[in-house]
Amino acid sequence: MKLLCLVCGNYSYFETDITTIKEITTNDGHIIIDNALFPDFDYTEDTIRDNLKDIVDYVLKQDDSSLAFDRETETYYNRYIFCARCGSPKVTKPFQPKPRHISLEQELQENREEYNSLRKECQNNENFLPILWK
Amino acid sequence: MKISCQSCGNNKAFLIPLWVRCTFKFNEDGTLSILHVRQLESLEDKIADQGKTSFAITCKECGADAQVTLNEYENLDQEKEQCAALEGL
Repeated sequence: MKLLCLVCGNYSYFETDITTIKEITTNDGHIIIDNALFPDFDYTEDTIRDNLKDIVDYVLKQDDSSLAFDRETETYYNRYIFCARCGSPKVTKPFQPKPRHISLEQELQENREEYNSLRKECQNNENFLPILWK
Repeated sequence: MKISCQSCGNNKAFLIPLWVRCTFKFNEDGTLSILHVRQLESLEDKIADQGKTSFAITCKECGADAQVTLNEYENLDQEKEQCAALEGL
């Protein structure tokens, strides 16, 4: 579960607005609009996929920045992604409890044995390394 | 209507940016699948607004801004009117 709608509980289907590039070709006064095709790729498809991935990655990474406060309802809403089931913009990352805060000194103490074993491992490996100049 | 590139003279293929609404889902493996893409803007309006907005139609060949002439016979009509007026005088 990466995103969650706070209104209907949907965590699968979402909508977002993105830009894409289309091609206009003119022929005898007629205008034909189609995908922008280049010799080795479809520019229209690529922009849709890339822009969608960019906006989803941005929202997942910058959860707080993607939220805006609505003064009328006094709730936060997502500026970029909204629910495809109920249309609500109240889409956020699921609540994740913050990890307990411990001081750096305490963390170093807790991981001391693991570090020592790592150092020993390195030393052992050093002894087994081939000596190139012999 | 006539669309042409002022830089390279291309009058065949052009690119236009367009806002679309994309419906997608998260797959179980974390990837995204696109379910539906819906156009949000009117192409006719965008073509008619060429030159008025920064999101312009560009040439597919060289990337320069394209020029849209909505009524390419407008100048001919004006020339005819001017000729008729001169002949009248």
